[in-house]
Amino acid sequence: MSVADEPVHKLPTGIRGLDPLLLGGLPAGRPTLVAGTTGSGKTVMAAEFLARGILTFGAAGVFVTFEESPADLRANIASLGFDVAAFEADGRWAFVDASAQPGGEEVVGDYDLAALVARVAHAVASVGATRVVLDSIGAVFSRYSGAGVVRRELVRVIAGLRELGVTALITAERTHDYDSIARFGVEEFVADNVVLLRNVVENEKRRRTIEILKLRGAPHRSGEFSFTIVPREGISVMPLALISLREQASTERVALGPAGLDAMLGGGVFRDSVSLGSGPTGIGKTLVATSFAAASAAAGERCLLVSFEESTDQLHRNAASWGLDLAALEAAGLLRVVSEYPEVASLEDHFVALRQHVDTFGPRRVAIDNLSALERISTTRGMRDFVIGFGSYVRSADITTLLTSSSSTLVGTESVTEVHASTLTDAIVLLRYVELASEVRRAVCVLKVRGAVHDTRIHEFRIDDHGMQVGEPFTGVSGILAGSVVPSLGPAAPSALPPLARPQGDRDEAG
Amino acid sequence: MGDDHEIHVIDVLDQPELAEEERILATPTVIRLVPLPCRRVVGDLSDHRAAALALDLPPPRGPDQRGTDR
Repeated sequence: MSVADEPVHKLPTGIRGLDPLLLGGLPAGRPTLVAGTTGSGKTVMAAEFLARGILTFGAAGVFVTFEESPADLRANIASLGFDVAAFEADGRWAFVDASAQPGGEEVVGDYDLAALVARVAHAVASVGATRVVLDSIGAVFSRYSGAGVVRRELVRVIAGLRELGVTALITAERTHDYDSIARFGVEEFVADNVVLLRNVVENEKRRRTIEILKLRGAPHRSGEFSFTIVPREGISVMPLALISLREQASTERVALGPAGLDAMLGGGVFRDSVSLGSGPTGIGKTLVATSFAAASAAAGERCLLVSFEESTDQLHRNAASWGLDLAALEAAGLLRVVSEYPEVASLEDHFVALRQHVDTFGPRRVAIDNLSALERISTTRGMRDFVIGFGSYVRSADITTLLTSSSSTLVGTESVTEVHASTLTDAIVLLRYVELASEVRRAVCVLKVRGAVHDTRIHEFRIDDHGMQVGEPFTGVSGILAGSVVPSLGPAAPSALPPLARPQGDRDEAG
Repeated sequence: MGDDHEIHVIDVLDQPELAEEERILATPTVIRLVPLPCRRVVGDLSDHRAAALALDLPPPRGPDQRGTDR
């Protein structure tokens, strides 16, 4: 074909999160092969491609089915939230039923698939379709003998699609998730554009991924990306950091919560920032998260508080012990508390649920307590995708976000989440236990605030019935972050012990 | 077969809606509607013996005596 030099026009699929991977969409007017093992989501993607075309772009579609009957497809697609029968009644969706006949067919001589081509052309003309799906093309091979003849005829079908100028999505079976592209060498004749869907088990977790293998020489994102299939919503590809960096970053500051902590941050965090609060168990991460929610309510802004560790009741009780009435905030419509066990769903499903809460509640702030609980149900890669994806999603919506994560040891360093989250977050607050003179005390340190000056000293803090009270910096000691405190050498050293922050002083500062 | 038959020839390119109705993919396709059960045979019918067998018709009388032509 002589079109090789023409720029590739992209047709947006409208499928959530997919177009950014395709850097715009599928090549318009050309066929794209979607290959995957059984249950990898091929038919779902094919159906949604048509449905989104109708709902989002007003583009009619034709569904050529080789396997399931139209009646079955209508029922199955309805579970994704698309009313195919209504689309058909509106003349925007047509089926070409190429599913097997009950009695079968006997092949006695040479044949071609001109009838199929004519039917597709007829259906395309009857609804004015610009999108066509063929699902799944491998079924033709199992129905007719002679793979060579079938291949020759499918080339004819695909040439017919090209002539019609429709953007076609052709599904094909794969036998293994990491193997040749498709059975019967289908990719040989629809080789321009190939998308692979996988449904793989990794560390005992099942994970769906999508990979754009090639796109007619057009640029696209490479590698595997997680996706999930959401009832009544369809496919949702984890967006990662694909939402382009916003042109202007917010200069507005909002309070993170505890007054002393905001002072350490240099006046709160930026409006569109993602902050990470990290510390060992019991140090006060949930307190910071609930203070964040309270600060949001105080500013008259809605906050979504997601807990993966504690039940709603526990959260209310703990907040009450810090002088915070979460129920009142909920009643005022300023707070939504969502409490989930991580194990009830996959990470991708949690992501979608979070997004749905954000969409329905419309918060200006989101707090997640805590990410480490999610690690139990995730792979390292999945966790990173989650943090990047969620971060870019909330940033683009101008939502102030606080994530908490547990460090694995009581004193000192690092857990997996921190490794991945720390480079992806704008502000990091470390909470640590400090052993000083046979006493365990609490320390807080602002490790970074992107784009702002902050207090670099390590402060002591206490938790009382008014929440988190940040006191004076530790002086005369070092090694707090490393977990082994030693007296500092130098002129200030001899006194060794820092002055204990007195409760009364804390209150003054917090008030 | 004598006079005891009725044959409709449909050009799918002219009448794709009929091809749709009968869910025909391949051409040529012969559909025997009566007597039941319905039988569908795909491919050119140059192999008369196989075609007759598939359509459950009496076998052609001899190798050189071709039956009904296309």
